[in-house]
Amino acid sequence: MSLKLRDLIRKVRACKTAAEERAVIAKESAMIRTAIREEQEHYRHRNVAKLLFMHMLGYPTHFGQLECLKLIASPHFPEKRIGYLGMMLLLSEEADVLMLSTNSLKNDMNSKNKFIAGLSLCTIGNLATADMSRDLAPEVDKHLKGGMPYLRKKANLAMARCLTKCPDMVEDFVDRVVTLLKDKNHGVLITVVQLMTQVLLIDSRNAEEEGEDPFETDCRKAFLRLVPMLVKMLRNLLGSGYSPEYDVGGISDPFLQVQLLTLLRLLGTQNETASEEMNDVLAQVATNTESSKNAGNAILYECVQTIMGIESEDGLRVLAVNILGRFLLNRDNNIRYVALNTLSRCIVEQQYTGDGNVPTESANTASAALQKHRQTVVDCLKDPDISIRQRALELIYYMVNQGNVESLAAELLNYLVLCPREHRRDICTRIFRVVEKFSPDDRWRVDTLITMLTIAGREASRDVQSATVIYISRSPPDIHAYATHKLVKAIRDDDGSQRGLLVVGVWCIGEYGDLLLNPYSYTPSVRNNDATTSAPVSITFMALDAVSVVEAIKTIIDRHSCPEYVKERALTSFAKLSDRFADKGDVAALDMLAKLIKKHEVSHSLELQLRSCEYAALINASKGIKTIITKPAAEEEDLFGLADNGGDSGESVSASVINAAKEALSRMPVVDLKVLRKKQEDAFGSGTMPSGNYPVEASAPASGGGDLLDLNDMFGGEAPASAPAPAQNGSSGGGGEAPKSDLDLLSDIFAATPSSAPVNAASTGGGGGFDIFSTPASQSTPAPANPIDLFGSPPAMSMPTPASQNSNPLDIFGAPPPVQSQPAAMMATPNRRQHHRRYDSKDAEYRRRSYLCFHPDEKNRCRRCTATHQEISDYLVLFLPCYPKLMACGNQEHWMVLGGKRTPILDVKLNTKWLGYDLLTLTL
Amino acid sequence: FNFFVLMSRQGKIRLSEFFQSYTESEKRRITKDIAADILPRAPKMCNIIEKGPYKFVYRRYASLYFVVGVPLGMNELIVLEQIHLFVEALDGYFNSVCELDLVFSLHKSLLILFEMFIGGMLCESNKREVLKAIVEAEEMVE
Repeated sequence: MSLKLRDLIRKVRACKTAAEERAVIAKESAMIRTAIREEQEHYRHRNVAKLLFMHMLGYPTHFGQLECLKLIASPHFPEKRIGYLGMMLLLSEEADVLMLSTNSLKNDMNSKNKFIAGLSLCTIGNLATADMSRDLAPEVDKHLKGGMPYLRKKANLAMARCLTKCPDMVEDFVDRVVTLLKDKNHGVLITVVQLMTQVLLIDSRNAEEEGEDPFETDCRKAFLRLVPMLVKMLRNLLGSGYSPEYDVGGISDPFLQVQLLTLLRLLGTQNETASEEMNDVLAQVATNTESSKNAGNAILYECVQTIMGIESEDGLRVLAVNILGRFLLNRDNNIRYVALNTLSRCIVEQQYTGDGNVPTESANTASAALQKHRQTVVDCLKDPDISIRQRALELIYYMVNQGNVESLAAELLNYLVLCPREHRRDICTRIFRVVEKFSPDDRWRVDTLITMLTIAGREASRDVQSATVIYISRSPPDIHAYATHKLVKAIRDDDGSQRGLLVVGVWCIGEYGDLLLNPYSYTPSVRNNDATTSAPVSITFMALDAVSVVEAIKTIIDRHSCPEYVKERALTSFAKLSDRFADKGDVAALDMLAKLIKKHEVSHSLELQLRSCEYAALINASKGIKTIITKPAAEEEDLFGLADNGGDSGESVSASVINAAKEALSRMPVVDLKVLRKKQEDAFGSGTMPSGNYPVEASAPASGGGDLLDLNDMFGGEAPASAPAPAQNGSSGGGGEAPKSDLDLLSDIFAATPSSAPVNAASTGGGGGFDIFSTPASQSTPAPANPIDLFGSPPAMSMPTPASQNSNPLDIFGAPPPVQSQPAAMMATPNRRQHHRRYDSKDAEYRRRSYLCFHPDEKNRCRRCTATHQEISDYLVLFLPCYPKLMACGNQEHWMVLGGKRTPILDVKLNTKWLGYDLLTLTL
Repeated sequence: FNFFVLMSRQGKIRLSEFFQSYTESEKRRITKDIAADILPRAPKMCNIIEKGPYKFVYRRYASLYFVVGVPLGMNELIVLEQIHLFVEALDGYFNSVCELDLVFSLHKSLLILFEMFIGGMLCESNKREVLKAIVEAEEMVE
């Protein structure tokens, strides 16, 4: 037999550990389950009581749901009572069994015993579903019409629930409400007022759904007729003397008063006549309510909200604002909280309604009063209580105007230092908005933004960072210098954790690095209003030399914690600096820059590598030097005769190319902020934009070289067509075999007869060659097993048999025979993860190139790439180690598979060389 | 009201009622939030905490926290007053109520709660009326 309830509680309380408690409960649950199964009616209500206890402790009790329903059906009051309690707690609205109780509820509602009927109504009020509401509403309505006050008040609330669940029934009950308002019983009154509030809310929601004007519904009209009655009721409450029954701290029934005020607010919104009728009583409430107790303040608070909500007189509004001002000075934190909250709501509403119109007298008063209490609000920011701080922050944000922006922004920045980290992001955005809107001049704006980033660069959102850059770039040159000097200082002081600051700083240094070489000093002009202060302090920055500027960035990227995107930006910055410093004659700095740019040529990160190489090329181009790929295996002959062809005409780059390169490095165009915002684009697009352009521009200088390239060149030169792959492989065995394999390659191209040697050579070479995107560890990455698959066929195509693969390892575009699947010319990168990242890039140019980098190994083929092949239609760039072969196969028709379709390659052009690979443009 | 939770200083729930339907996991999150946000607060701080779509309004009596979840627009001060009313009713019934009373007579306190609040709305603002009804019902049981 199971325990008694009291014993169970004792036992649970005696448990020392949670495990012990679980054991006790588990045992008891099992007992109860058994009891339920065996239909032990006698213990039923005790079991449900125990389940209530267990439910409170948070244990599962769903198995007891049906027991509750059985108890409800019992004729005895004690059992019924526990049953209803159990139902209200253990069942939720979603429970299926709830439907079964409908009949019992109906019967009980009509019970002679008022407590039974009361419990039933209470359950409906707490649990009724839409279906139940529809069934039971007529019964509930009976109680509304008459009967005891005890049941009437419960019926009111039950009805409120029913109407919430079935909004379409609202109209039928409007009339009923009118009679109820005449009731004498406070309980009935307070519930009926709540019912009316609910009905109004539901009604206006209904109206909105049906597209009607929510202020013109029949229901509202009916209620509006009741306004005088409600007002009278409120006045009676105020006037009535001491009534101990409903007194709270000397105020008669604050609950009813508050509910009445809420209802009046709903009725008075956008209704002149109703508002007119209320004005007097509201004034009475506002002046006569005693504010020494919480209850009184609650009424005042509600009254203020009502005054603000309706079309009240201006005088009344002043009264309300004064009350809020008093609240603000109150010692009680709750009241201060409420005041802050209401004030910000008022101001928002005013800004909302006052938009476009001439601000009304009252609007001015509210914000004027607020300005009067500015210091108090600001002090609230220092409160230990987070709720108050949050509210104050909100309010300050609304309080800012042209006049006070400087002092308030300073306060906000102070708060930024103190506030918990998770709020910083939001505050940064807010400060930014404030600064954006009200800032008096560019210098102040830039100053504030930089300070903000110094404090919370880590948390500031990308948008804020980008916009800061834009603001700096849009300001006059004087500010450029100022901002850059300031940023250099901030960056040097920082420990590298304020990433936002680094991003902005690095960009500015890159863009305006030359300005750092001059000293900068600025004397703030004395403002008229604070002329009393002592002589203005001038701000002076010393000139830096080029090397130390570069050092500043170098320190950043040398930190281990430095994120990649900062490094990327630093690279861009270096590229720009080498342009800015070009005419300064500081060789050491330029050398350093060149080295820094090249440092990432072998980086693991694609982006870094790409930037590094492209910038190096770009800088070379701008100097008039043609792009030359320096390879570790320098003794390898230059494949295309680009480097050593001795005074060839292609040696020098044309002037236009130089100009183009210089153009790319020159000052960024200032981006239009509006356009930028409209696109919701990461404004650093402006920073990285050039990098998007680089490939195109960078290709320009090299294409001159590409023209040189012809078959003669390849076969005429000494040991000409050395495959770049072994060259890349550089070290170890692959390099040694290279010459031989080259010959084989060539012979293979023409003969299409494979030999075993090239297979080896090619595969070792391939192993290195595919690895362009990874650094020294490359040898260990899985080299593609079958080099033929270098130009691997997309899965859609029928595969070449393994045999044919082996026999024609190098037959790329060559011999026709087994070629069901002479596949697309593709390049491989083993690092698929990087590839994916690149592929996901927003930059279309980037995607195009990425497209070409999938893994040749059929099994590892990147699905995403194959899925989007169609995107590429007319333009392709290839990184091919075996470009010569492509060129070599003469006038045979080449094709590749794009989007499952065989697409002929009409023309192949070498664009540039990149890391030992040739960037080709295929015309399809 | 959206919900009503009584929690002890140790974070144990002494009574809880959700007037709107929440899933089990939502309920758990709410109680967890209460324990995390309210219990560590200093006595002088304000009794209102914003948490997502609702506010916690709470009042502390000795080692018990009475926490009410209300929608954002609700008058917090009157909610505090309502909590106090409930506590006074409990006090009147148990004759200077203590935590143990609530533990051992859970169903009694629940009955008082349901007598005063239905569907999250105040039903009777006179504690005497409430007690009278409860006591009368008790007599019927015996």
